[in-house]
Amino acid sequence: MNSPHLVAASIGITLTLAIIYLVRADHISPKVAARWFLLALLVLTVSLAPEVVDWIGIQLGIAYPPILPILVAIAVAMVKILIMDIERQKMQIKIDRLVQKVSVMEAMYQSTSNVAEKENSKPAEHSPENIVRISDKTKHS
Amino acid sequence: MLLIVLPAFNEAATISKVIHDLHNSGYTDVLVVDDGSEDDTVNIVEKMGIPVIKLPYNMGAWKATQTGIRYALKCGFSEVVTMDSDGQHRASEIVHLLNVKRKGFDLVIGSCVKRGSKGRKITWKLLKTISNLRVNDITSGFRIYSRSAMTVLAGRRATMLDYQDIGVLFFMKHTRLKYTEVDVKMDVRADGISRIFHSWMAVFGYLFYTGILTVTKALPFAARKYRLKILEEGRRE
Repeated sequence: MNSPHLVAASIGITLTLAIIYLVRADHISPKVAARWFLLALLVLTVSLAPEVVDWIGIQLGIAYPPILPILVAIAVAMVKILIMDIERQKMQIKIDRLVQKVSVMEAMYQSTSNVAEKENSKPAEHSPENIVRISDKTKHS
Repeated sequence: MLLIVLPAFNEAATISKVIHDLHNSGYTDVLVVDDGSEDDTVNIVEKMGIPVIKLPYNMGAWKATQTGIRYALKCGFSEVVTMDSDGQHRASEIVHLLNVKRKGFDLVIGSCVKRGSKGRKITWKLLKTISNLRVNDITSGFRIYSRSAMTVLAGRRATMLDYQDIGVLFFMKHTRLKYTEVDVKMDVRADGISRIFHSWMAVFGYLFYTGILTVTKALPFAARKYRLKILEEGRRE
């Protein structure tokens, strides 16, 4: 195993541990974590079995040894994307909770106004409607 | 005071039967949480005079259920029963959940392990072993929650869950609330399709999701700090 592969292995292991921590601490949901675990698995596979990449490279006619700076750049980009994912997840949770809250309040308002509507639809004791009804009853009796 | 919460997504074919079944068994406080249905579910429920929460988009069964729990807390209900709207769960079985809950449990799951296929039973067994949770039917949506459990599950952290299954049980475990299951009878779904296990792809996706949740949450925790955080968030509700 040479340096680029050690770097790749470190990235894979660090990523795996970081994702475990982030799910445990409820910073990202298991759904988001799934994508990151797959990526970590891919990085680990490449670092533990570098000959796979070499084989693909030979098949495609690509051989470019100074890959290390690119690996480091990818690692930095991955950290940035992970942070963005955490932020996006936080925003999504805020939106979902806000939607839940508004929907609950709407339902509560609706049931209150339904009750009020029922109350209002009952004619008041001395309303003209009621007086007519009472006088009708007296006539019939 | 007990509230029955029915999360519903495109359940126009079965929802009225489920509500009638509940009314016939004497449960009058029923709430339907419409999870962005595209069919006639909302109209049917409104015509029956049942309160309905209309979510503007499909949030998934758990988030719809959590909305119902948040509503119940706001309205002062002391316990909530959650049931599927597809006619699988019987209103007459709620009494079994209530009887067990009154022995001091915060969450009682209506369990029916025989309804699962062989593959599902193996999955349940595997998840039970890894997670160390003493429940066989982890995916059952037929449950009763105490007010303490409702408070914990109304918090922000619980909004990160997608299913009403193992994640909810971990919340119970980490906050030291008591949970158990009781055998109940269930009917076959009217459409015969499970919301979680509707295709092989969905099964693998679910297994991967639950596997991550189980492995990460089953490891020993800085329990006290975590518990206090969850309780604090729930109390803020």
